[in-house]
Amino acid sequence: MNKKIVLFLLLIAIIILSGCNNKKIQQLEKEKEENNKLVRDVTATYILNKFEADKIADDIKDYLLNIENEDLNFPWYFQNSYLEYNIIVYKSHLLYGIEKAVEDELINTNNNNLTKQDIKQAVIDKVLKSIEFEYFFNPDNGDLEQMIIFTLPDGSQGLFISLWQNSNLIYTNVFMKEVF
Amino acid sequence: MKNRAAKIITVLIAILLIISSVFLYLKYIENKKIAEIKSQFNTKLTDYERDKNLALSYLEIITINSQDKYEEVKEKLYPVLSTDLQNQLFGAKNNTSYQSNEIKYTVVDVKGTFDENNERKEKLFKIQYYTVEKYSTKDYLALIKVVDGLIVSVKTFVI
Repeated sequence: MNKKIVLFLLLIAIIILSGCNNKKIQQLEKEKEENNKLVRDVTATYILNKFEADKIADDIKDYLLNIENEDLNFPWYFQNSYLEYNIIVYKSHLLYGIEKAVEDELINTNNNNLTKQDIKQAVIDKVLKSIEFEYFFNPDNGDLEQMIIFTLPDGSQGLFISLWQNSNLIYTNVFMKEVF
Repeated sequence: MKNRAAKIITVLIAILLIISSVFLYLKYIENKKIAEIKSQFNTKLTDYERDKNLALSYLEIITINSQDKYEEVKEKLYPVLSTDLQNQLFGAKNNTSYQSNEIKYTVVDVKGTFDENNERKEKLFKIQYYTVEKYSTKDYLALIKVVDGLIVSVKTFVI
């Protein structure tokens, strides 16, 4: 009889201990699922916004890299929008910076074999190679900012920013960092 | 009588030992399971938050307006800066004379690069903020790069 009581008590103890363990693990499993779902949702929002921003990125790149071409042959989503205005402002900063760099180089260079066109091409190549695209994301609200950065030979930099929400372009701006 | 008491004590000790063993075994299984679940947590957002807070902590540099503040900020920031930034910001012997005006800053917006495929080690944060010093305010945009828990580069734009 005593043996049966002892075994019964042991069984109860094991069941109680197992129950405590299971609750904690279930809670952690639930937290894991919620966390991972949040990451999936946030990642999906990011990918969606970036997909739309990337469509424009190629057009912007062509416009910027085609230095001599002032024509604005952007697709329909550029028209009648501040994107068009700001991208023109951005390119004008880029062109001004290049011209200034060429003038500086002409003053400073000792190589008389180089023509102005050679120097200009070298500066253009250097600046266009410096153009970078970055994508900044706010996981709290899903906003994505596409940033284009160019760097001039004197260290000055130009930023072009476009803000995307729910796959829609809602804002653009241009900033310049001068080096004195 | 004595034998009976001894038997009871032996049984009790045996029960305690069995319960302890079962308890320790279950604890081991639980910890193993917990470790397994924790390894399945996607840490992308927590890593992002951690690096974002690190980038934001850099802005304390703006508030240096006295030797005491300099020491305070240096103690906080020095360990999380790259060697280059450590030398750049705190390297030379500090002989600066400071204005006494308190300088405050307010963060307007923070966004960071988000690597959906976990391929990039570095994170770049774009922080828009403004400073208030006595009667003037200025708007800034900072690009702060974080790599492996260290701030490695900072570019600031006046906007």
